[in-house]
Amino acid sequence: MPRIYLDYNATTPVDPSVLKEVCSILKNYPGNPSSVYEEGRSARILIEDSRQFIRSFLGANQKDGIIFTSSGSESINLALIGTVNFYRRQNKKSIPHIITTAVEHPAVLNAFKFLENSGVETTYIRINNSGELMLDELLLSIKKNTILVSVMGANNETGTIFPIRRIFEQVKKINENIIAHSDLVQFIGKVDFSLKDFPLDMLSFSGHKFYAPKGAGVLYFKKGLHLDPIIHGGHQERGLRAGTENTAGIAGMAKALEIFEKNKEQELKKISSYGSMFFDMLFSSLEGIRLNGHPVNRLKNTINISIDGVKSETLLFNLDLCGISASAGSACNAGKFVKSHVLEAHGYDRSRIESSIRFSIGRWTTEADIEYAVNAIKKTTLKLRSMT
Amino acid sequence: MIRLKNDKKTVAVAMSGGVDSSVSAIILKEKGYNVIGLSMHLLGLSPVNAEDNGTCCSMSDIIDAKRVCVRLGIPHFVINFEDEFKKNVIDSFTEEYLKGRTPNPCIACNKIMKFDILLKRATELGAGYFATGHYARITHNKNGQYFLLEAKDKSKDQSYVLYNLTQYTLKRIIFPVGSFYKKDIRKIAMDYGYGELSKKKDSVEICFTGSGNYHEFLSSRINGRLPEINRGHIKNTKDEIIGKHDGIFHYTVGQRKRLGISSKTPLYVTKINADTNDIYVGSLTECYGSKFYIKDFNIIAGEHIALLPKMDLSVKIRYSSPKYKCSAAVKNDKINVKFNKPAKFITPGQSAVLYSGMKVIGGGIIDEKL
Repeated sequence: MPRIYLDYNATTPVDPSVLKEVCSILKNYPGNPSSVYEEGRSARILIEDSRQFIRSFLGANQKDGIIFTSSGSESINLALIGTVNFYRRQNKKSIPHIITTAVEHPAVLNAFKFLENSGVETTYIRINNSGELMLDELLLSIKKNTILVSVMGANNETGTIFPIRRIFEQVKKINENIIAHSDLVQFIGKVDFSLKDFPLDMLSFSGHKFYAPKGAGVLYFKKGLHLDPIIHGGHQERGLRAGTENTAGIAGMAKALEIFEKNKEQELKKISSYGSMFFDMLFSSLEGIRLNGHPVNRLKNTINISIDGVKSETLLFNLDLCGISASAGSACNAGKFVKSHVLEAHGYDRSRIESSIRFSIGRWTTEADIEYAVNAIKKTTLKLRSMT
Repeated sequence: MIRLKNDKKTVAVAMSGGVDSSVSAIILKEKGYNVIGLSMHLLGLSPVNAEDNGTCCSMSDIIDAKRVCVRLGIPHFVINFEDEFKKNVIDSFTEEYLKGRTPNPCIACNKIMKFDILLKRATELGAGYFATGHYARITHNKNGQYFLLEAKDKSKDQSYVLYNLTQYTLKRIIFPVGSFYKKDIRKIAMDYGYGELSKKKDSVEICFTGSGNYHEFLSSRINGRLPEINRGHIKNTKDEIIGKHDGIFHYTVGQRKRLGISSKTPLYVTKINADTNDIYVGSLTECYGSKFYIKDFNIIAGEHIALLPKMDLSVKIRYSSPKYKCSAAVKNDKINVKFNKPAKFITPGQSAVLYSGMKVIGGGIIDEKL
């Protein structure tokens, strides 16, 4: 059965041009980038060229730091834990305070919990039922010892986009020394982004969300910022991330961004129009469905809906049997559909949360895919509703 | 083409990760069914013991099931039933012990978890049939009446734990391994390239108590909650106090070890009185009984209820018990069972299952009241 992949927010297939590049690197650049001989040099240059490209892609300054990691989660952990650890080393007597939102990815929330357990003060800012961040609450929660604020660019579950530019401008007005970090894992490669428009000190993302292979991530940090490493070992990545570099993954990530940059106008337009089409077809073909998250300020590729009278899990399994890949909230663990903390933060009732499902389209989604999917969702929903 | 109708040729196989359910999936796939693998996630795991080498339905077993499905090219879904399992199996297991009875949790697990909740999920996925790796067989007569039979491999027969099946469920169930010998099932696994699986040990212990010791499990769940239920007296059949105990839930009828009483002749638990918190012990001869009642019973073919007194019956009073010749009759909401010859260790809380030849007629829970 042909598969229709509607879970691009979970991960994306590797772009064929990226794949070609990655295979060629694996074959032709076997050296350890830290080695002093020819194979090392050529691998080193490949990595440094990738770093240079990503720096310019992000609109960063020449002296800003680009650290290659294994994933978005690692980048985020390094940003948060690395910053706090450095601060605590320098300010032994002071307890730092850090702020984030209640709807972040577990990478941020659990790094916060980890720091909380080691004595760091934390605050989680709520959202309203449209998914908007309570900015006043955030600004009021800033204290003398607040050293970092982390707010995601776009939510992985609902696609809701936070106005991070405005948020961080306001934060910086209160105290410009507060470090502004953003988890841009769902943002980079889906939205036109440049650091010139966003007052960020640090940002994290990973390649596999924009058609590069899994296993490579980036942490950007502004010149002058200090972090402690969380992985100890060799001196790689300026001593901030030990471990032999993933040459092919890093270069693949740069290649994927290059492709995105080249085609972004066309691609973003297409995804926006397919996203609207998907949305319109869904809402015109089925009664009793509700959009979750912000109705306007959201990624156009992401549709998170709740379907009355249908359990997400049952719908997902049925759609899989029809060849459709979608998801409910974050990827689930051991089959346990943990109640989405993101939807819960919206104040939605239990049945709305338990009947939520997320579709996210991408580069290879076609009109025919969307038609097939809507048809399957409709038929499955009507069948399941008739069974109860 | 989107197929969404309940498809009679689609079968969902409950897969524990063991050899029997895995081979069930292989057999059904070979027979041309559209097969869907389903695994139940029943026990919560902390990150520390996430790689437990546990029993049925542990994390590593679920991965084993998934591996089989991926290699067979069939879908596999893991359904989390932690809450349902706790409520329907673990909690009632504990409650029964507190009442001085000796439950068999596999009975409730099969009745509720597999053949009710999971079967419903299978139906929602469009599966007209539902299969498990149980060793038992199903037949039906011309009138469309379904019957449950013992397995071909008598040494592996599991019909005892399946007496709660109904006409509705039997119509939908397939037991692919029931007409094979276990050694043949292992051979099929081997022949199909599942060498590891073919050597996997049978699960025999209660799956949720860990390390097979239910005393520790019960103590951890009970202690602190109801401290007053713990200590009590051990009495002989003349009602004389001859010892003390640390909680009736540590005892089961027929138990000989861990009584802590010295006696010239071996002593056995003959009765547990939850109301007075007393354990009664006696000699082996005092462990024999000639009749008992079954409550919460199920008779598989309705017509057998009236025919029961005229049938040539035998009864199993625990999973591994022999079949005792008996007579039985439904009386109000209970079945009155009389052994032809007295039998020992009639244990309240255990299930008694009535057979006529190799056919399972029905069964229920042994009541403490005579």
